[in-house]
Amino acid sequence: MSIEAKDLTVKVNRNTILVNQVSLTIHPGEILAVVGPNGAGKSTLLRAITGDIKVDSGSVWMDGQPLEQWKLGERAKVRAVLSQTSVLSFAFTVLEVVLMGRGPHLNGSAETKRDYAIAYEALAAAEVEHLAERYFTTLSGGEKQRVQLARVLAQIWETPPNNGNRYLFMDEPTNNLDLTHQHRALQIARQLANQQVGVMVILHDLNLAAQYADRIMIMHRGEEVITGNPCQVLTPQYIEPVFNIPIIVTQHPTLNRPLIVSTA
Amino acid sequence: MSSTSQVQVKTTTQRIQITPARRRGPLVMAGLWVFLIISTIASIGIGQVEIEPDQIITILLDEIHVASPTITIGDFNLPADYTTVQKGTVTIIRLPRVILGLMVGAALAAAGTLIQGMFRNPLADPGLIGISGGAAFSAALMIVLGNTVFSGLSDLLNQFGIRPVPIAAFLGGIITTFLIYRLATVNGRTSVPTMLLAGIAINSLAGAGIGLLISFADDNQVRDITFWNLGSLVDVTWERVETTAPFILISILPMLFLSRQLNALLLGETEAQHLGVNVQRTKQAVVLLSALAVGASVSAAGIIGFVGLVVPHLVRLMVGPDHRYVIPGSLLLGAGLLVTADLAARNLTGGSEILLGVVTALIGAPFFLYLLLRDRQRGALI
Repeated sequence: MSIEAKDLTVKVNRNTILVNQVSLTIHPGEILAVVGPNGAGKSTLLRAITGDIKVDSGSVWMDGQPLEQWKLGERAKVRAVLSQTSVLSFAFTVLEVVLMGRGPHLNGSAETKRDYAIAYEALAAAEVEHLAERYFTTLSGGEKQRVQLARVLAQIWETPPNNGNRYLFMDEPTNNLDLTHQHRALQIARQLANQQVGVMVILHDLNLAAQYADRIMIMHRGEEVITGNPCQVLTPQYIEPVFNIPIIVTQHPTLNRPLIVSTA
Repeated sequence: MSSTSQVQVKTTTQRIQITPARRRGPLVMAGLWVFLIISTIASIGIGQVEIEPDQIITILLDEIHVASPTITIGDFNLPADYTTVQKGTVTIIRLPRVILGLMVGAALAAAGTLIQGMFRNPLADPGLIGISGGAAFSAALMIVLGNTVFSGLSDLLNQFGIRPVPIAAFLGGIITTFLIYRLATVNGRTSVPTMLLAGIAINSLAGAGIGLLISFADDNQVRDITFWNLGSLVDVTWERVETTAPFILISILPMLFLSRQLNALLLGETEAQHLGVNVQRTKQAVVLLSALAVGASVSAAGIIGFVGLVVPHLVRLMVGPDHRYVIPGSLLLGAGLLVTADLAARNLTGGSEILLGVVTALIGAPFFLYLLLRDRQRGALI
């Protein structure tokens, strides 16, 4: 049981191919990081796997069922997506925004005490508890990002009643975040993975990917370059041609993970 | 090892706060009901013939053959005596007018809420999806050409007891909205910004069309067109209430079930989809229900501006943007404000009535400017 994308291709027109024949599997309990230069097709790939855009060919299966056969409501109970942008321009409070993450579980009724409790736990996890009463519109970019993180956490906070899998997609979750909160966001992803949530995360920082991911996929010009564990993938052999920058890979001083240093 | 960096979930020690909407919502709703009832009673009671609240209640109870309870609170005595003139004024003149006013106000305000939610823009109003422009143009078309080019059609409608101008307005509004919706829908996805732009274009086209018609129109027809464009509840009959009520009721009741979808939609269309909302179906529902509600309102009372724009703002000021409260709140406040504005339109000047659309714009526009100025610092209108 997993999310499986097979041979996904997304084109703008016949000549412009954004994603070309990419396959990947997101296993429960692991973090898959997708890295690559700007315009490599990472976000397009994510949006194709989450069903936001139509694919020109290929298929996505979630827990043994084609994605499009999942009812929207059922899908939302077990899968959350944290995107980069936030268009909310109405003055909801932070708590209200996070409670919206409980929406798929409400079946049309009002939020229960349990939903409030989960919302507060999620606020605490994303370290935005103190902002609960603030208007979302008055927050800084980084604070907004953390509130959105809390919202998607609240959405998949609990294991489904049937003990089914949960999945989390994060499109550059570290954008706008300071160092502490970059790590915080990925620690949350790590903790969810430890609770058997399958996580796919798009990252720009190779060292963050090295530190937190179980597997890494490098993308370049819409294609998969290589997928594997951090030590296999984060080598000059793959990084230098893709990012066009000379690097040295060494070992992280305290963690058993590669550390990438630019020598440009 | 990264697996050692566990997230420490702090246990929440502070008292769990509920959302502002939950906290204030019930009180605000109760307040809006009180306002609605007071404005309704005032609208029925105040005018050339004065009728006291106790008389109104007695008249209404007698009308439905229910024996009045005996209650005495100061000057308020049930059952109360009333004259036949008072009874006639209530049952024939004011009651249909007030009931239609309540429905039109509720419909315009709730449609405004839905449209603002769908456009994620607090400055949107129902006119943006072409309902009013299309309705005004086809009403003008029927007013000016109903006796010549469309005489066959209007004779036919009259034979069935259907007044040609309101039905033209209703259909014109609906058809225009459908057109704009089609223009903005590609491969089963409706682009909200395209709808906005198409709406602006169609509205100015409708304006130009009306201008063209005016140059062919005689003085009476010009006057009729002006009436349509500014809205009025003059000479409302029970018959007009009966033909309008089904459309308005059918359209506003389902609106109450769109709150969660609209709340999620405010986060963005993709986000709403990820929260399990069928975004395309929600947009269809918003367009269909508001077109029906506003189309029926315009056909019954002409174009009454600012209610659809300002009322949702007022409700959001009171309870915040949660649609579970904003939609019912807008229904109540829109209804109450419209009959109050109509009360003013009837009674502010001694002789002839002011057009209702003039009153709503006179109150609505300055108030809206005040909101804009006040909220400039906050960076967002709510």
